[in-house]
Amino acid sequence: MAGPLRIVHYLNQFFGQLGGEEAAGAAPQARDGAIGPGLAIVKLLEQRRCESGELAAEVVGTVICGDNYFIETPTAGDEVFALIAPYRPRLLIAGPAFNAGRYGIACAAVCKMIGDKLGIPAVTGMHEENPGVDMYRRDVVIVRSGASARAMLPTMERMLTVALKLVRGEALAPARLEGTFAQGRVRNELAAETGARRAVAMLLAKLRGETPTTELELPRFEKVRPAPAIVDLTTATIALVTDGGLVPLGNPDGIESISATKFGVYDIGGAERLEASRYESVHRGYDVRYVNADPQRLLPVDVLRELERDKRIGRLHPRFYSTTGVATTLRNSRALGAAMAERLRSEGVQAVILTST
Amino acid sequence: MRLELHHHQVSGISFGEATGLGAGMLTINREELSALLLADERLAAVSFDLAAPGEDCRIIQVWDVVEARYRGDGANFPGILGPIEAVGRGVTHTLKGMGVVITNPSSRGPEAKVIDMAGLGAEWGLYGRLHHLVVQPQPAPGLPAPELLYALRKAQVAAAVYLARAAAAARADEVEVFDLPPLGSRPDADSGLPRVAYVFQIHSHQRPTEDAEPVLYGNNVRNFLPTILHPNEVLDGALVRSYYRKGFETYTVQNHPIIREMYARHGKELEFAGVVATVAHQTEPERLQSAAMAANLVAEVLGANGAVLTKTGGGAPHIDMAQIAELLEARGVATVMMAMDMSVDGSAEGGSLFSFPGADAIVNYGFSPSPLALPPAARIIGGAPETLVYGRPASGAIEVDLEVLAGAENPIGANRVMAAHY
Repeated sequence: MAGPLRIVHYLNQFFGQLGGEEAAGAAPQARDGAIGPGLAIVKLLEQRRCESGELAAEVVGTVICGDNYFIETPTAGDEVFALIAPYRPRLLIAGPAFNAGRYGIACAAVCKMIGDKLGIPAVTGMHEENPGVDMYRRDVVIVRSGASARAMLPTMERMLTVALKLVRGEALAPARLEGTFAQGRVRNELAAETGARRAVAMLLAKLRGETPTTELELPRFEKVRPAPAIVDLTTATIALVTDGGLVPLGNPDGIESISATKFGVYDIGGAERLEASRYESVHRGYDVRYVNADPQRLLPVDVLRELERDKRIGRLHPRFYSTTGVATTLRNSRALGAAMAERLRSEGVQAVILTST
Repeated sequence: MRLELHHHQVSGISFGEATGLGAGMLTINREELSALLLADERLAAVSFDLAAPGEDCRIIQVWDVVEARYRGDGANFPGILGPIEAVGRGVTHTLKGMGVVITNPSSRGPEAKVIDMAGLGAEWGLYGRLHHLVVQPQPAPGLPAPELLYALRKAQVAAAVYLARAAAAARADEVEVFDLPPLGSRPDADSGLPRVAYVFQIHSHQRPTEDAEPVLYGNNVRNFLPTILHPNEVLDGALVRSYYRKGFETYTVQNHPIIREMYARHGKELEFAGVVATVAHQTEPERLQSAAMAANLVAEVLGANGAVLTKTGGGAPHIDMAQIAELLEARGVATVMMAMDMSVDGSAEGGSLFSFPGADAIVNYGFSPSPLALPPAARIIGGAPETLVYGRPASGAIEVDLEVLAGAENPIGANRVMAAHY
């Protein structure tokens, strides 16, 4: 395409130099050329052009919007779009937002909107704890940044590297190498070295005090606060809930044996125990023979009936809840847990005994 | 302890009059080998086929692959074939460039592995680059499943020893020495090199072993507590793959890539302290016992500064491995773990089953649920062209999970397959 690559830069009120928190309600406005962090883009583009003759590019405009305005105003996205589109950009850069939550969400939302509506590359950057990451990583290319603006220049450098690859139509490298947040696509590849060689090399690097380049990102599990304790168990309705995969024979609800997306609720009425002839476990992650031989090993109905008779608990809830907990995604687990909790509550259950395998 | 592997290169196999190796060509007397294997009355019949690298050929119903080995000085595969004695010392003859494949006609689904001798499958699997003798036994009528598996294990190592014995008189093409003296008598104790151990999970009791299932020196490794092994024992037939479908083939244990890598760097970049064998357990107390003892052996007995840990089996054994690593990191022992990528939804948070401070170095050996499309193959060994592989005729284009292509998903790092997140 003739002429330099036209870039529009999106900033919040602070980086757009409108002011601090007091200006967070500022409505969207456009300025020709680069402002604030946009000057870093200009500088980096100039460097690249000198060093490698990279294509000519220019920041043609900057669109600024207050963070509160963007989050709280339903039409903010449309207003921002109306200011960006006339610049006829071929690339949008937003932020970086570092660990600023509202700014991160706005940057990612603008990137998604521009990508969807104009079909051009749009790249932002933020810290892993920015809520914008979890909300938008699947839809938007987000470059990892430090938590504060001190990392502006190296972050912008990586954002530009990724953005220019996208402009040229090049495929991005795997996220851990590109310094982006993975967008949820995983595929097997052949590495240059065997796993054994990589492992020993990684250990020696770690022993030398270097930061190892892990090949598997670890999940960050949030701490779950337990519900307040039951004051009087003798009046409480207690339900049995399991991720051990126990279902009526034949699995009427088709609960998946791995990577579950649903749970079943099964009536036990006043049964004294769960009969092995009527139930089975469809879980694919443990040896189910012992549970199939006696389902009480997973769901101790017999013991709870005893406690009921001895008046140590109010009563056993007449339905048990079941799913399979094996290779279930955290996202599905959260959704299943929330749905179970809501239904249990609506059925008047005060406590559950959660059994796992 | 000093082990010499005398490698005899095999560049072609044929059936013929007398079993022997000459000028790289292995000749096999089918009748003699057949008689040897059918001495086990659990087997009703056995047939053999040959496959060569690059051939338009697919081997199906694969159960395990071993390398042909013959220990001139002592017991072969102790506890399975030979009497029980420690291995890893002396001279062992190997037939290099070939594998002994055994098929299991009763395997179904992901238990029935595939070896492709050409194309993508040969590139992604580990065994398409080798010549193979494919041993295809038929069980005696009514043979219970555990008995069949035991018979397969025994027949396979018997064939492997039979072949390598025939080459033992010949001059080796290459001699490889694995010499690691006892910890207390090492001259390089003050070398300043980091001491490095390998923590090897040899079985996962997600699938409990059968009574007579040989894993380590013929032992079924039930109630197994962490044990220090000399790395040479692993290389020399003390250990074979358990019957569990998810894991490593025996071939990669005999050529253990991490042990070889540590040996290659021993005295230069690291001091190889030794191997701690563990299993993955089904119950929490056993898991805690195993973790406490394994970490203690690595840190306080072997005195290691660093350790590589591997697991086998499915998802749960990651926890057994990670609990050891966590204890080691807490004691200042640096760890690298090797794990399967578990992210069914492609998210990073779904990628792993554990997380603790210090768990910052993980090598991944692939993403299992990702299907692998393999092209048609002209010749099928181990079944008929219409035998179903994942619901499709074996001779046509098939699509299998990564673990089904033998060696593609290798938890001890023999392969280059890894999951990449985009």
